[in-house]
Amino acid sequence: MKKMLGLTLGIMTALGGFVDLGQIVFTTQAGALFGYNLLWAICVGTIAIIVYMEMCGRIAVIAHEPVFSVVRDRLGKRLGLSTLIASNLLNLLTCAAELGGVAIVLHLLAGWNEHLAVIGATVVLVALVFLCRFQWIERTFGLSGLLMIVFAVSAVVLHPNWGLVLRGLIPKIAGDSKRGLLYAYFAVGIFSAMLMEYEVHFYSSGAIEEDWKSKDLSENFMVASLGSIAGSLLTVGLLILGAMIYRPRHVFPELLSTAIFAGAYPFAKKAIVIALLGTLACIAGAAIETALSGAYNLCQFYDWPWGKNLPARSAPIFSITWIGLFAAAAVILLLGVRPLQLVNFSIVFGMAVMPFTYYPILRAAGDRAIMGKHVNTTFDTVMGGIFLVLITIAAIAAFPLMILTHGGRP
Amino acid sequence: MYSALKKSISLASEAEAFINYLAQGRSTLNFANGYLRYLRTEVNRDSQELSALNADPPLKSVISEDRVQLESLQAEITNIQPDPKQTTTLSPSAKRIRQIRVNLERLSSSL
Repeated sequence: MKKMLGLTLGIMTALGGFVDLGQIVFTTQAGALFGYNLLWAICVGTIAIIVYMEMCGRIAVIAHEPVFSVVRDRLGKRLGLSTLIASNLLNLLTCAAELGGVAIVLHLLAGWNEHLAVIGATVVLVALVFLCRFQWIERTFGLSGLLMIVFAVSAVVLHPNWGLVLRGLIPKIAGDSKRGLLYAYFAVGIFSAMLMEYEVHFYSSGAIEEDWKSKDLSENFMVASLGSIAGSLLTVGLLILGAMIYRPRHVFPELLSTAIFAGAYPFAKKAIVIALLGTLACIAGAAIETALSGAYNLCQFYDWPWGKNLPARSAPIFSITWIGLFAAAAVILLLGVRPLQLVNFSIVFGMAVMPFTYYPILRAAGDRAIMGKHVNTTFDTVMGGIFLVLITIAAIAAFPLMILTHGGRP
Repeated sequence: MYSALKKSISLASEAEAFINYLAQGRSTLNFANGYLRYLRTEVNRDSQELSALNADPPLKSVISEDRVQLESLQAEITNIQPDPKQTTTLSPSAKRIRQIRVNLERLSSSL
């Protein structure tokens, strides 16, 4: 009973924490431009994140190695350091984007001045992370993020043509070359948004923070798979909302408020509040994850003490790093950088860095010397290999597509 | 140029959809004020981007007309006072914004 409860909580937490600002905006835009024709990208991204999240959790449990130790060991110090710098730069940009999103939501919810909301949100989130144990942080934001279900409910209530939706599982080559490039850009963007590195960094570090043992491997599989599937259904909901509400009106949603409006569209005031609160929880959770991931990455790379469940004095560099990331993110926003510009850039930049994170994970999970009987099966290796190839292709294409499509402008 | 015009149509269409929603009394006051403020900022940004465009003479009149429509759209959005108790006052604004959208679509199809 206790195990079932723990498992249910884990899956629900993964569901509630699955989406972030990038996914919300990118997926709604994709629906507005291409209808259901990028559903396949969501499916491919979901399977990829299940495969790699499960591997990360397994490595963390069996080898007691978090992702960035694996990156350092497999890529060597020089390439590993480059990956660390790139990943942490990405974490900073993503943290700033998410924090900016929090400020936007607080403005829409309570009318607060955005700059003050940035400062206030930074202080509150830092205090929460400082005072609360890892498990409580994860569960609070993950479970609150379940309010995002209103987006999925709105999508269903609008009665989409499910036959047409399912046809989106087959990739289509869009009309002319300009539209084709835009289609490819959004396919890469959706894929990247679902595989953002900080998610696997946070997940593997969390497995060690929560002291998972071999007996928890089944929970690892269930959380990675069922949590991701449930989360991807939310993402599908966002795609459907973009397709049904904005595509017929030729609206290209460039504002977070536009995406949130879609979540409440069939309903009234209460749905707006629920959509805002759900978005707030998801985005605030993502801000925390990115800040902590940055600290995890640095300390794991250099074998310095790390962990949210350690007293701050026992892991000083870890504590200073995540607080510093929050502070730097706030400064970026107060200097006037727009959160949604950061999101675009972080998704593309994230894609470019991805092979350097996922390749070491695949190698480590397939190493019998460290994984023992829990080494990758042939199926795991094949699936991991296929997705690594896709990740590498997308990584090479990401920046050229961003330039050729002017950052995804229709 | 075509991309800029598409953005103008998008903003007008989005404003129209939201005003209709607002007119049904379905939004909270804070959300309405915030969303309208963000829309106004985007319309202003689009207008500035159009000013910076270096177009050939035949397209200059299109850019000019696009800017006129965007200025009207900005004025309409600015004049909206979301009030949950007086939603009927929004219908004329919704009609005018719809007309702005139609004008922009005609402009786009003339290219």
